[in-house]
Amino acid sequence: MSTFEIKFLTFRVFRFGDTKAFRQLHTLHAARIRHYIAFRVNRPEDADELTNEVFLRAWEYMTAQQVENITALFFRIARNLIADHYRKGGKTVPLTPVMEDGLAAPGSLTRDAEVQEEAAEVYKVMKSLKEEYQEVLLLRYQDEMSIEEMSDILGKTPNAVRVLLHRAKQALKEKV
Amino acid sequence: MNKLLKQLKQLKRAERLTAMDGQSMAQSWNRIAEAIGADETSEVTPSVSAMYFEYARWNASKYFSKPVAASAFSVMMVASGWIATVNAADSLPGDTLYSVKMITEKTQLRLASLDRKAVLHTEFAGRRLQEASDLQEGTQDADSAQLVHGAIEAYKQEVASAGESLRQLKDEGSAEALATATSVQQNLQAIDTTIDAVAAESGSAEATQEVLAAKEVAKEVNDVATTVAVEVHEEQPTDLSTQELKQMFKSDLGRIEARQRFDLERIDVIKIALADDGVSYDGFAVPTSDELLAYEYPIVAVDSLLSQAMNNFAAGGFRSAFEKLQEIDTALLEIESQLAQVEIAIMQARLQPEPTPVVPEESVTSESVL
Repeated sequence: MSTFEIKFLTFRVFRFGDTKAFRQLHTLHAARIRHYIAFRVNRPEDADELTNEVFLRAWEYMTAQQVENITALFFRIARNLIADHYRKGGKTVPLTPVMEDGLAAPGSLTRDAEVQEEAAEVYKVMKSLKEEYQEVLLLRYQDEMSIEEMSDILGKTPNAVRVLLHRAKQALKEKV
Repeated sequence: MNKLLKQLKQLKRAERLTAMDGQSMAQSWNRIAEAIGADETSEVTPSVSAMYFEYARWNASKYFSKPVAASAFSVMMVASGWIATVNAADSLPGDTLYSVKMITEKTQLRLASLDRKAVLHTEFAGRRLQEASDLQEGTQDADSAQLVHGAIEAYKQEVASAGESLRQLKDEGSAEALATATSVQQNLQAIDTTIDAVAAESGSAEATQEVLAAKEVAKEVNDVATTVAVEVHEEQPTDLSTQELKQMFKSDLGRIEARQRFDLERIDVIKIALADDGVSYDGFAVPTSDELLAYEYPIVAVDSLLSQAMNNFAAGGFRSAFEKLQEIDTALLEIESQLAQVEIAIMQARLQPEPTPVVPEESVTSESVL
């Protein structure tokens, strides 16, 4: 779907409360949002619940004002909800549960042995990096976001994101 | 490090463990729909075409937040020392105070130098367009349509006068020719978006045709402005003239790129409107998918033509670079004219009343009588 069509759908939600348009946006984004959340929470049930909550909050926001970049909005809400989710449990947000609970943790979303082996190597190195470096590397290489998308989600200018990404890669290089 | 980054990317294979299948997607939507009170069977929204035109209107209205004409008017009032009533400044054709506004403008032109005249004409052209737009928001009756026609004609005359003043300035060898050419080009581009907004608001084939004719006049004067700037530079190249040319080229380039994007969006919207099952297009001149592609290809091909123009400019071929941009401008104008016809046909199809169902007459038989 083109950027224009997505903007038109967003306008329909804002101006007409068009749930059909919102459903199309849900269909376009739900899988990606759930994937983003699923790597950051422990249980599939939590991922499902938080994914739905992202869209509910987005609906409230979108029907009140026109949104310029709906994809960025969904991810920003997801990020905030993940932080709230851990705050309620009195924990800080882990980069990924794999790193906190170990590879074979029950209920871990990454039970696949091959994936686990690869994940172990990557996360072992990344865990030693600063949190903001971890976040930006995951967004770029695991979630495959563009610089502009990352800039909207992180609330930084595209240039600041490029600099942060460069520093993160340099830091990663030093650890290897 | 690259191996690590590759491995991070490959972790997306784990997506199959976190992916949403059709059932989980439907479950997710059902929960959301219940929470927001969505009921697709009973919900009533306008048709997609109607929502598109509302979107086009809303998009166009964003440009009205830049009142070039109004601010330019107040600056001129202060600069020239004239005292004018605020009411006259906001008046529209047909209002009592509109004649005051016209007299004030004519007086300013009489007192202005030739270079100032060229710029004033473009500022007045912007006002005429704003007046046309304001008139369109009023009642849609025959008098209003006539006033809109008058305002667009007046716009064309102002723009043409700006071009004449600029050409005269160049012919006289004025030192102000270059700076004036730049100002004229900037002003024309600032009001370019208002032309598109007036076209979007018009809703009639005649007004759209008039607006397209107005765009052609504006294009001709824009070409005069860039040609004057190139000629001044060729006669006596300076750092200033090079800078001005760079600025004008960048400005023209940006304008064409914006039009290219907008034209591609128009085609996307036409596709959406034509796919709307709720409207019948029988008897209306709407394009097939292949015909729409024939509009799309040349617009996309503008990218390579723009690259040629940029290469020419970088190599110091300023004249050929601007001529290339003028060619692209002409080609886009032709396609936009055809797209406007399609949009008018779609609008007319949308406005046609729904056919009343024909109830067959009951035939009288001996059975029905009994």
